[in-house]
Amino acid sequence: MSRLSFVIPAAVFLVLAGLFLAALFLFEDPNTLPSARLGEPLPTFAQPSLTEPGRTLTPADLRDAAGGEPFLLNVWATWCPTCRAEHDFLGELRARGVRVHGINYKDDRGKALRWLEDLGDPYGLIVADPDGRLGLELGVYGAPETFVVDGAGVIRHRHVGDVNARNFSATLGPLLESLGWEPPGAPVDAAAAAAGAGEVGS
Amino acid sequence: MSRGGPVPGERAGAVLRGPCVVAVFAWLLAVGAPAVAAVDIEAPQDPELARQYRTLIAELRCPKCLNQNIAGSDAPISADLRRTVREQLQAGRTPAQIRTYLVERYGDFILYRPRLTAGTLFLWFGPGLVLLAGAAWLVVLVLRRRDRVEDPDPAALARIRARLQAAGAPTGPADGSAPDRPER
Repeated sequence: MSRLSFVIPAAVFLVLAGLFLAALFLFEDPNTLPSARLGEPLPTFAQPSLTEPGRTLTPADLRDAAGGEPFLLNVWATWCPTCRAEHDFLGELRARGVRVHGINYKDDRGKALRWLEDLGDPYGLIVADPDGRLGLELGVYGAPETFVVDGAGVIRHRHVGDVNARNFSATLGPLLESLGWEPPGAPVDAAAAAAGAGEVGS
Repeated sequence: MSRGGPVPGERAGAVLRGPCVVAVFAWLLAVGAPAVAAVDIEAPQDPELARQYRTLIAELRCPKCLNQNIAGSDAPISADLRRTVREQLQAGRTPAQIRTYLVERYGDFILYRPRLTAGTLFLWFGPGLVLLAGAAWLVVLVLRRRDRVEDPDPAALARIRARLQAAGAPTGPADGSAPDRPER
């Protein structure tokens, strides 16, 4: 009997310790928060375009410019060194037919425009968000962050940190494909992608 | 170790030490004070709103820092959130509405006190339940031990008897049961 009274608390402790250890190692990095806006349409906004003075952009504009296809919405700023690191890859994605829109987050317009001049502009449309209000609506807490938005304007995923070849081929690319993006490639690939998109379902 | 009067300069040093210490502390206070003042500058003018503001920013977590509230955090996102809290309070929204607003955008994680939902039940009551269960188990254990009389190990009993006999003391019943209490 005395052995049982030792075993049971020890077992309970082990189970709890195991649970906590699993949570520590198996779950996502606690520094990356899941987006509270997943599954919701882009929040209403009307903010100026960074590159086209006088033009106001709304979620509908982003959708239309993407032609009803899924797109990436990339939050970037000139004060963010990681954004510089991911910039070239965004250019590559554009060359592969991925639509990328940008939100210039809490940045200076002059600096942002010079940056685009120097490094190239991989974006379709760029929303200027100098005081971070649009970021707040989206639940952004830093840069870079990239949202995957489907053709209907619904947020499907929020990626924290830079977008690079590794995480694109692992997560973002497949997600875009399931939402209707057709990666460039041989007809066989296109057929497989279409079949895959059909299976995953819309 | 020369005897005699103070070394030239020593007396001056002793005299200056007190005021120097005071000066250093005064400087530290002056330098530190603005940090506290900065947060108050951001608070609404109205005393009631200011009170609500201070309560809210103490219980909202900085999404970037994980373990700081937005009151104590330097992060730009914290400054943005403080500004939003102030603006919404001044626009007449209640703290509850502001909390909902932020949870819609940042998730439950932004509240230091997560809301009571089916998902957070275990978070709220789990530790307390585990503690209670442990305490109850402990109580049961102690009660059981107290009520039970353990049979002594026969070999040890024999050794004790031998020593008692050698010393001439009474050895109790031979079957090892508890001896009768001596009559008073």
